[in-house]
Amino acid sequence: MEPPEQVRQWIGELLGMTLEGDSTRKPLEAWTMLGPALAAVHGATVAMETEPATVLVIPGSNDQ
Amino acid sequence: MGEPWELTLAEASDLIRQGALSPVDLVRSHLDRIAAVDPHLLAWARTVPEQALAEAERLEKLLRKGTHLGPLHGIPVGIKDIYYTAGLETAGGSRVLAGFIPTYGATVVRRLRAAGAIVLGKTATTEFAYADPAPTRNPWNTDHTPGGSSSGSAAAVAAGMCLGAFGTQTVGSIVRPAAFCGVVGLKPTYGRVSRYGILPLAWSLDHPGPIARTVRDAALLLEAVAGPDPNDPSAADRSVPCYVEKMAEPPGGLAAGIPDRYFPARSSAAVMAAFQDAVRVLAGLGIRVRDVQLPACFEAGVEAGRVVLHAEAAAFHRDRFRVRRQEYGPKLAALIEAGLLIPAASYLRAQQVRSEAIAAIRRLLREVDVLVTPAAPGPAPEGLGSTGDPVFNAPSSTFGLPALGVPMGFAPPGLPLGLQIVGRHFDEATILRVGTAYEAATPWHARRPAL
Repeated sequence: MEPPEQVRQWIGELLGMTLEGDSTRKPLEAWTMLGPALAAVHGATVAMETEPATVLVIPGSNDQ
Repeated sequence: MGEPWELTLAEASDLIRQGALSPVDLVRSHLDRIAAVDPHLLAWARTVPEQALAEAERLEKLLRKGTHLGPLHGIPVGIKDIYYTAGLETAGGSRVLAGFIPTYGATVVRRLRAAGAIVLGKTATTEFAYADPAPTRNPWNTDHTPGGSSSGSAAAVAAGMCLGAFGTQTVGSIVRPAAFCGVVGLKPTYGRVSRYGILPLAWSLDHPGPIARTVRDAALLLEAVAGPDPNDPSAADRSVPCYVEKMAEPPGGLAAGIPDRYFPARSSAAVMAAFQDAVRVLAGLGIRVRDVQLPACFEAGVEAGRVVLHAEAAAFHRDRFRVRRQEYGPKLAALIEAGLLIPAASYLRAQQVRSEAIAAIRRLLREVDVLVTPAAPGPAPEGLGSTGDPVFNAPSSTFGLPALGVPMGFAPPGLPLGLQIVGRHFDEATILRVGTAYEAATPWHARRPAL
């Protein structure tokens, strides 16, 4: 899934914050691992903006 | 009767109860089996033969005094090496915990022992239950992975080295290795079984559960360990049904949904052919099988689970990883590094998306009683460098739904395939009902690897 350009840019800036080591390698690996997932999550969140009362539920809590 | 190790758990249990089989003989048979085949499979991180025999003798004395602890009395089991076992090394498949000996046992282990089960040892796991492989090989073809992360548990059961074993699933680690090894894997509802004393991969995704040769065996193991636990606030405050009784009810009239997308496009031709045969069997049992539309947010929900996995694994390993980075395997290290970069707001948004997807899938599961899918996109891959793709198991793990994997046939060149039956939260009884009937109508569960 191709993320929206705005989200890709934001994630690229975020992944530029490396811990240590080769700063060109880590963002690429982390993007490969997480970028599409983060884009999917934030893309879905945009649709959820009309549902501000969405409750956070941890599955398996006694709310189920 | 052949060798005792060739029995199912339920068969051995009946013979012990009748006084026709000695727990000591049963344990000896399994220890001999381990000695014979495990050098080729490497399913065990460590075994405790003296302790197991001593325990078998104790349990035999109880029987002579007229005390029978229940269906697991004298039953030899394996425990994945991320479950704490008091006084017995728990290394988590890692270098960082090599030599670590817990002072207490996981709730699951304590309940198994109280039920009379005998721990033969700790089964091999991928490193901290993620993706850096264990050395274990597939009993059906040792050039292939057994899957993971519950690699040793699945291989040990398939090879007759124990009558049941426990694993965990965070993404695909019970149902997938069970499918690859031609045995039954049961991932209960999140919170059905206590996680106390189990090394976490991701706290809100980890599910302890049994691997066994038959659906009945898996149900017996689940009954022994399920239920509330004051040591685990996420263990649901719900009573445990008698699954073995409930699953005996014929499944005619139940409705099974086949998802319209996500699974078919990723399945190999052999998997699709076997799955279509399985669907015909289910229909022949009186189950009303129909196509269902997955909710629009399904894929986003699964991706949200990936974000949650990264963040929670990173949180657990953070402090140790900073000072012992070089002792971590490459795949787990990459997971942790990526997870440490996730902002809190993204993690929380992911949990919100996940919650929305759970609500949507619950609405779908009001229209049908179960969902049926293949357990994996293909048979066990060749090579030991990967444990395979958990893509078909990620949804049930992310949404906390119970999932049962049962043998579904074989793909060339003789590698097992699995059927996955997913149910409503805390409705293990229904997936066990469907699985029991399907197993009785098919020959797959009776086949054993030639070792």
